[in-house]
Amino acid sequence: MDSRPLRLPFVAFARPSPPSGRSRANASPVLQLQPPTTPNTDHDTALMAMFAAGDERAAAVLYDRFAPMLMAVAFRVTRSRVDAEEVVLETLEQAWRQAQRYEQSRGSLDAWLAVIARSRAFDRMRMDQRRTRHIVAIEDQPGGALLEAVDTGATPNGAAEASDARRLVVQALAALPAAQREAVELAFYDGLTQSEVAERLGEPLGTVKTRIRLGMIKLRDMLRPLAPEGRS
Amino acid sequence: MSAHTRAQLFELASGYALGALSPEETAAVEAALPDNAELAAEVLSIRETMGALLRAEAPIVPRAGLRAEWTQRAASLQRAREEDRHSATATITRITDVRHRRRSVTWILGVALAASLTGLAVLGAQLQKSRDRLTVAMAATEKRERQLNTVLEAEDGLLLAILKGNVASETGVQFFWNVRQKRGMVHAFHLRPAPVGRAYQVWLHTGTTVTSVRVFDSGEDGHALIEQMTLPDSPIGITSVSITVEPTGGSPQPTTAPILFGEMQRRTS
Repeated sequence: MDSRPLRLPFVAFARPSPPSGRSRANASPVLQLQPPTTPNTDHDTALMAMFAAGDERAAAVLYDRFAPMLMAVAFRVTRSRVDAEEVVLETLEQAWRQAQRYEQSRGSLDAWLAVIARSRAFDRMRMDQRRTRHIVAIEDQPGGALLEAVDTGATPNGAAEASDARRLVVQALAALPAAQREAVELAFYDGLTQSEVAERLGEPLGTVKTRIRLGMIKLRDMLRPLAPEGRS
Repeated sequence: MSAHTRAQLFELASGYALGALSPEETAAVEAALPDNAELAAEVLSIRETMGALLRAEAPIVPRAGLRAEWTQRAASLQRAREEDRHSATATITRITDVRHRRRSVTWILGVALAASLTGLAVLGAQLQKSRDRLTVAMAATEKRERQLNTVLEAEDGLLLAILKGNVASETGVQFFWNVRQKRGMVHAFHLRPAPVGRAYQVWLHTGTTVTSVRVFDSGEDGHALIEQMTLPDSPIGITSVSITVEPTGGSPQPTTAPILFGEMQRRTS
């Protein structure tokens, strides 16, 4: 039984600003707003087509659907609301520039945006030279019962959905052999290269590459219910 | 042709999706992806897994004002895109006009030929020169577009500095740095050629150091598109870019005050 701490997923303790209470009356008359992470491939394709055409209503809809999720991804890396908000804007801007290249066959929209946000957040941390490597272990947090300690100001649907997903992610990571989990966490959550992971762990590069590969493949299999075709 | 076998490329797929490969490995995967649907599907499936991991974070509501900032930025981006589109259309129109003029000149030349073989010889030579100049200009434009597209295609790790300073107001210099491909480019416009015996030198600044990356000069048209720079392995710590006027061949350290200066910033492709 592996007793090393399981570090994921990060849970934000900082209380965010309250929701704006803005009216959504100006949203697109064509696109109906969806709960934050509900998959809807046809809707996403149409949304991105409008976004690519420069439709400002589509830009607003995209923000309303994904900004809370992108904030969470960015905050997970930057640990700063200010930086995370800038990452959200950069992510949406990159999506705007690449919207014409987006195809549903290239992956779900939320995964595409989340991966962009992760990349932008790591870029920001590298550029700022204040990257923090002390991602706090779940067990190290006060009380340790983090799965119940979420206070994000998120919409109920989004929070509940993320909470379910989080439990599945925790289970999947816990099921990985400790060595694989450690290597995957360093590469995925700390943004280290495989060489940096090998150096950090004092393991041969080839060993680390294999651990990351096997770990990600196992996670893929275990998280299949969260994939677009597995969600409903 | 990739030096990696199919199995080796598949072993790199997870690391590629994570952005955890070396530049050489990254380049190998990217070279193989367009022609290897299975590899592309493997990378996509790992990215979906990453998406699942990332989506599991508890959503955080941004502050109220961020939505307005985004909608304003989106509107601004769209305006810039439309201006670029109009500019491109105007350029194409100018080229079309030149072509049309060339055709007109050819017809007139035919009439002149019937009247005067001597006149034809003179005008024919002028036409050939005009056509050659046009061909060269169009080739240069196409090359410039290809080069810029190559750099701007970088999805990650593209840095940009817009340099302005103590020169003519219309002068502008853009510095691009594709970190992943370790390629850089300087694009200068309305930059008068350096004085005789002098050249322009590009410098990267950290808080304490200055590093030369390229010596160049602009053409008679005030334009320069410069590649093949000596770039550091990492952009970490580099905050700005400057250009000074130095002796031809460059200097180990700047000997004059910068005439152009810009902050380094990330640029989304």
